[in-house]
Amino acid sequence: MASTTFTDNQTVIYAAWLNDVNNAVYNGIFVSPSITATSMICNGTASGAGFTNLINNTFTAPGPIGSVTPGTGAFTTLQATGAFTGTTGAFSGAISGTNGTFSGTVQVPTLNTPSGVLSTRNGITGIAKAWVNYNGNTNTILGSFNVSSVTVNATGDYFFNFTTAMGNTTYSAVYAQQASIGGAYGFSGVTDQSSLGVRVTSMNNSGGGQNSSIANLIVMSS
Amino acid sequence: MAQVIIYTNNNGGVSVCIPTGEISIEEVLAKDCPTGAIIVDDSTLPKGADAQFFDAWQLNGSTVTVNLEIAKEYKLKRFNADAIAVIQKRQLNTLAGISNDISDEIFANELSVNRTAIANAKTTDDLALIANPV
Repeated sequence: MASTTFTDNQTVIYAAWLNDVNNAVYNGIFVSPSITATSMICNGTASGAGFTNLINNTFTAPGPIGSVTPGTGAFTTLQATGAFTGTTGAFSGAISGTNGTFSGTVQVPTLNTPSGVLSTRNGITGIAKAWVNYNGNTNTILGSFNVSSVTVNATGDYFFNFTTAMGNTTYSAVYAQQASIGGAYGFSGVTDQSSLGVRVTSMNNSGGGQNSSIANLIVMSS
Repeated sequence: MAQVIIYTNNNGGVSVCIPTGEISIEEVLAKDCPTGAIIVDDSTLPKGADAQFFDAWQLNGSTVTVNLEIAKEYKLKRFNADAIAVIQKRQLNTLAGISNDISDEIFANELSVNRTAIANAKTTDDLALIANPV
């Protein structure tokens, strides 16, 4: 098992100090719990208290963190109970930690917590966790976010299925359908909600189920 | 051609699941629908007057049809609910000293005629032509 010691501000070429380039376990000893590297390049896979798995270390990289070329950062797993600060990074796997600061752009296809869509305070709060604009007369989805489908069970009785389940059932769901159809006022609202979706109903002024061309659901959560 | 997922729900009617497009319809089928649900072109679903009686839809194999007797029940239920609302409005008009547009006798006769028409309807087109009281 390889072991080495290096100092702050040193340029480390991974392939240069480990013989096993593509699959190695790094148990390097950092001089301090915090390391500042101008350029760090990893050509293979590493694990342990090193730089592809950062555990209990504060890792500051003012320069690029690269896998092959220094201009691109790539991590399979990045864990830090301290702070992570970087300008460029590409992550194919999971990122977890208690602190993180990126001065550049973070691009991810899905931003989740293990328990659901930004269900805890680690994500952006104050924005909708799901929304949909549905035309109940033509069965047309006009726009949506985190809603995989609309199930029509009866006239005016819909179930909106979340694409990614919510992490709890204490979220706030608001549903509104066109208030006046042909001059007759009805009512609409949420009748049930679960981590999987929201059931709603709409009725006309005589208590019968009612579709309309305007049906909107918004789900907010912490 | 847009596709939807259909299945017989717990009430014996038909549920129609419309994907938003965020994930594939096959994924929606697996995630959001019960076993036995099927993917169909929405063009195969009932249209015109049949579409108005969604609550009377029934699934036979992969074909959705309209049960006319159930459609009549729903039509009569809605007709009566609207009739009650109109009767209440007419009574309030009488108490307020406002004349109703037609006499109670004529109104009652219209209700009777239309209820008979609902009972005798041969198609959903017939049902759709019968106006509810307003």
